[in-house]
Amino acid sequence: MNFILLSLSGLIIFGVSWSTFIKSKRTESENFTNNVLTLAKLTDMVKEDIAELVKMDTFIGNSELDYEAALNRKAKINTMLRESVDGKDSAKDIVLDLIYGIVTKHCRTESMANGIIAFNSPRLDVGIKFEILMYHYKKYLVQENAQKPLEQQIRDPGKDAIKIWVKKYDLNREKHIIEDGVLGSYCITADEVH
Amino acid sequence: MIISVITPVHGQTGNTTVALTLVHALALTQMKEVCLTHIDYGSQSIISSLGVEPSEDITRSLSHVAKMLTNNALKADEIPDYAIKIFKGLDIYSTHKVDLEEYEILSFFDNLIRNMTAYHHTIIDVDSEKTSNSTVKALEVSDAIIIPITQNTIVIQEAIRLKRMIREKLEDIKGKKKSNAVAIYFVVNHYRPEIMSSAKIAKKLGVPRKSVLTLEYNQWFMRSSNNGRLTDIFSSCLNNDARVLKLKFDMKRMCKTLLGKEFIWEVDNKKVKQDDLEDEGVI
Repeated sequence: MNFILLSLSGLIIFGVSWSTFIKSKRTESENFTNNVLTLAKLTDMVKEDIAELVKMDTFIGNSELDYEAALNRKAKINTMLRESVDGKDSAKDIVLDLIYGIVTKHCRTESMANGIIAFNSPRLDVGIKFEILMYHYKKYLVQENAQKPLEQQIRDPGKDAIKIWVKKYDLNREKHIIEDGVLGSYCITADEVH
Repeated sequence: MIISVITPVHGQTGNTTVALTLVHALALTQMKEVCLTHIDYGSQSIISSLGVEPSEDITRSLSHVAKMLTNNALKADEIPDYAIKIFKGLDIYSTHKVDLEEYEILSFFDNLIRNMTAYHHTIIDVDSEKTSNSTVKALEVSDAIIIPITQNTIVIQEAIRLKRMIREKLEDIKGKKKSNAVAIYFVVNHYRPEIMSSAKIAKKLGVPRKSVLTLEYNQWFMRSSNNGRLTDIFSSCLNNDARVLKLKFDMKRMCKTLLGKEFIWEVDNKKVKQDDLEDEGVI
């Protein structure tokens, strides 16, 4: 369930960024009028929720202390959104988690997530399969790194996941696929991902 | 100072109650910034005792904080912005969202504890399994350990076993010399002197008498805990309410034993509510 939602979040992250700031005053949404949730609708809902998060006039709390802390949290989210647009990896990771939080709020069950993208379909797009594969592989590398003694641990072990994966399964060998197999090339095929 | 509160028998000795008493005592009388956190984020016992509504604010979820700490996007002095504020000086770290894997919790916990420099004292309510990795991590970072017990013989026997286990673990992690620097105390929860005196309990446990603290049984205390008004009962006892006066002495002894030379006793009137709890139906 987690990887499905995270993949969804990954797809949405590209749709949510700068426009969130500009459209922060959107109030009405038609997303809730229809019961069927689509990827486009979910993306809009995430955009709206993030806009709501960074709005300075929305606050639920008990005290001045809470209010100040909420303002600081909002300011932090604004910074992270700005930095993720600029391409900073750490900021992207944080924004992705934020989006994941919103997606889980709207998509509470696995069947709801499958309704948006048919994760259980045998004809699932190879791109999405690749995303799921990488998500699990990164997680595996992080876990493996955590079990090593402290002095042998590396920082951000998931960063080179694709490099390690390609090397491990010898996917960087020359293949004769394009141009009727005449010319050698380097690529990863859909079959290899399957 | 990092203090872990770990129970010998899960769910029977009032682990959370002892942890909450300690944080209130430190925050209300020692003029310190204190925070309370726990390991089993699925447990709602802390926030329900304090009457805090579980918030679904995703900007405050601990998985969000974990990501920021891992990515070095959060400075130590910014961590308190993500806590649940009970009053000035007392913050709680809990979450409504438990989507973290065990290794993520461990790394997060490690990060969080190392960056808790905004607080003078951090109390960890160890509500996970005694032998779990998270428990071991909590013991590893602790300067002092509190084992809440009752006057039940079986609980006392389990507490002896737990103390032995903690000492062995600490020796493995820190070595004998450093592990001896970690003090282990026992707090007898729901204490009734007519059942067994604290001196006798200390003898049974095989520890000096000063290592055994007490938290006397009090019906008002229990009632306010059930009503989610625990903070009010601490305020009330510090305002010398006769019905919960013994709690004040227990809190004082707890602080004195744990803090040693650092101990002061100054009730912060700004933090202590002057409301009449009777009018509000708490007492």
